[in-house]
Amino acid sequence: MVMNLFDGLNTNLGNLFRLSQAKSFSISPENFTGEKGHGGMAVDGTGAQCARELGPGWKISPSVDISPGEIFTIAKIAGPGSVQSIWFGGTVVRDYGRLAILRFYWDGQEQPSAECPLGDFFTLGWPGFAQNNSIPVSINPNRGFNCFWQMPFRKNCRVTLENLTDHKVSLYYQVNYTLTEVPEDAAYFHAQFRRINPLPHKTDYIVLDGVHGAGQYVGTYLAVGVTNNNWWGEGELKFFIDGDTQFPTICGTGTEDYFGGSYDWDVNGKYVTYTTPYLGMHQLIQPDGLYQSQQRFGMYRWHILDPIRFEQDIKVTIQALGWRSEGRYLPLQCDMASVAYWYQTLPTAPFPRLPDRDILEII
Amino acid sequence: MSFNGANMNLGSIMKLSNAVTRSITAENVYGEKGKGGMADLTIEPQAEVEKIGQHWDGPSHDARDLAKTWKIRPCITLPKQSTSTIMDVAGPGIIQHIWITVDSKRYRDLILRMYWDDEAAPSVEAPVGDFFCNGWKTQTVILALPINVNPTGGFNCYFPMPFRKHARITIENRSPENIVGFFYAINFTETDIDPDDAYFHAQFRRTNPLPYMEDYTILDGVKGKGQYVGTYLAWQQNSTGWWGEGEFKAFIDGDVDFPTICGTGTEDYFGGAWGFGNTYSAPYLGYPFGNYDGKAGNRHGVYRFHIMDPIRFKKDLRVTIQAIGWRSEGRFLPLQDDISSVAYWYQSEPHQPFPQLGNRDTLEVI
Repeated sequence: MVMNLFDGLNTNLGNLFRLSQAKSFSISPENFTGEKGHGGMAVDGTGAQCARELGPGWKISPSVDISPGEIFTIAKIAGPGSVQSIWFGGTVVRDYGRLAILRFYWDGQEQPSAECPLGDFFTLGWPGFAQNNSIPVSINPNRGFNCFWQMPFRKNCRVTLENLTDHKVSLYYQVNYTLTEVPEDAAYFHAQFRRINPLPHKTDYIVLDGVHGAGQYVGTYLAVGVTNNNWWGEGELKFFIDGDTQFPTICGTGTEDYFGGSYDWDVNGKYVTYTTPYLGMHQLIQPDGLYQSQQRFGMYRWHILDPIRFEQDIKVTIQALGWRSEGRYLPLQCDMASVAYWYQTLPTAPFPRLPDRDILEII
Repeated sequence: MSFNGANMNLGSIMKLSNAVTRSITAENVYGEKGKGGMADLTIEPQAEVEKIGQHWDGPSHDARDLAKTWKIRPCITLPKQSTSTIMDVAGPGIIQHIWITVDSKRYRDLILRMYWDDEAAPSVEAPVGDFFCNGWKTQTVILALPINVNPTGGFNCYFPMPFRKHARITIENRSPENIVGFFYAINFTETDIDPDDAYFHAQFRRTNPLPYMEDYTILDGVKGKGQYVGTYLAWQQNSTGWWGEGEFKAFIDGDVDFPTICGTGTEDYFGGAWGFGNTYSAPYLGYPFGNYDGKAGNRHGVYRFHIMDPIRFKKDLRVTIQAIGWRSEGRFLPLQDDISSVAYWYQSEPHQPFPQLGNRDTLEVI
């Protein structure tokens, strides 16, 4: 009889009954280190004033305040193990999604393997609210950010949030993780943000480039601010894999097609949003006739059942393409921002320098 | 051929398996091969119906102009104040899907129980409504992965439930009336299961009202090895304003005073933020039922399923949540709310006996 060989990592509804020697932990402001039996012990914290007549055990430390310019360490975990889910809330989530930078570091690397504005990482780069009911990411009222990306690490894991605003912000967080053996072929989670605003005429927008290693591309979040009338989403997604230069191995047929929609998402003369397990055009911001002057879209596609595998390198681009007169394509100059999600072996090749605050900012 | 058909997901559906598929309904009460839809248009009960002890209504009046095979016994009557068996099969196997529909008026009056391997005390004991995240006698659409409730009151459960020797499922009707039109389907597979496959458990609790300054206990007294996989709460706020400041706490393997896992607020645990402000039903997280205008008496339903992030324990587990609102001058108010819950988990047997289920009046939604 072979018992408990299950490492607890490849969990899903179909094998939820399997026992495992993996151990569960959770980091929050009520347990900064995640240590066993150390939750809710605080005698001081952001809730102390509210609990002044109740005392310890009554939500003394549900959040942290992060000063302007501060890089706050959310989690520091010794491996081997895997982050299994994350939840974020607070004023930083509500008000400053673009101006707080989330970073993940694996196994002592100096270079982050994920570097993203908080909002974009959770598919809400634009202000406002849009429900996301997908499998790896869930955004719930009122801007509760959840993700279920599995993030294995061998030696250690470090998660930080940098506050780029001029304000003290509050952060509520929960990082649920397990400590267990990590199999040899488990790769590391990566996410990279980019923004070009506006995209130069006749230039392909780069979603991801400069990746070195073996792995799989697992998702795209795209935030497009449209700067022309007419349909804007003719542009094709292209995946250049393992040495492809001029021509990609995988070439799409149009932007809404890649995100699983069709015919401009135009149903009876109106854009229709949707959020499904793997595909979504979940956010639509339309001009209000006054100061809200731009039409903006938020879209995601998760390659969970159809990851795009690469052995050495991958580059991902999208064209921004609309329409001129007489049925001629118009290369657009949109406000383009994206997050690429992938898994790969270490080391992580350095990312392009993250744009500074003014370039990130959404006006 | 090594795949036993157990770890089913969209990525594994191409795999061949020697597992055998069976389905129990009122048309085939034991789920036997080639024995579906055999009821006769006679007033004599079917032998299998008599054997399992279900009430026999006689053939469906609707089929009086037709013949055998024309939907003669699609549902059953649950006699008042008695227990009906809806599954009674030998293992090994795995229940893969359960579907039930019944009048929403009876969601709290019907107690669902599941017994694995001939155990005396059930591993699942919950009102049928609460088990399917519909605790408030109101049909509510649920779009989670393991629990799916569709219009109009179609209850579905996809928690896989392995059993080695035997599986028995019963429904107790605690109401003073016979309940007609109880429809059900239990889809299961006959297959070998692995030594490290644990058993599904679900426990209901209600405290109404919660005593002042007390934590609400979702689950306690668990002994064994396993994983906690979900929480459903049916919560009535008895004070005005926001009701969800309370923290979720999981005390694991000997934790006494302080938990290993401590949340930051009720809506936070259910994946929302800032007092919700709207309902939602996502694969793992949901606030599918509620009024969020802060009125005293508002009722809420919330769920969280730990599918990708099960809370594993080796010896014991206790799960609590605090009920905290707001007093004047920014002071926390310990609430005295009406709180019901279902805890879902897997564990090795034997399990500890559950607390005595409240009687019908104690469970009733007024």
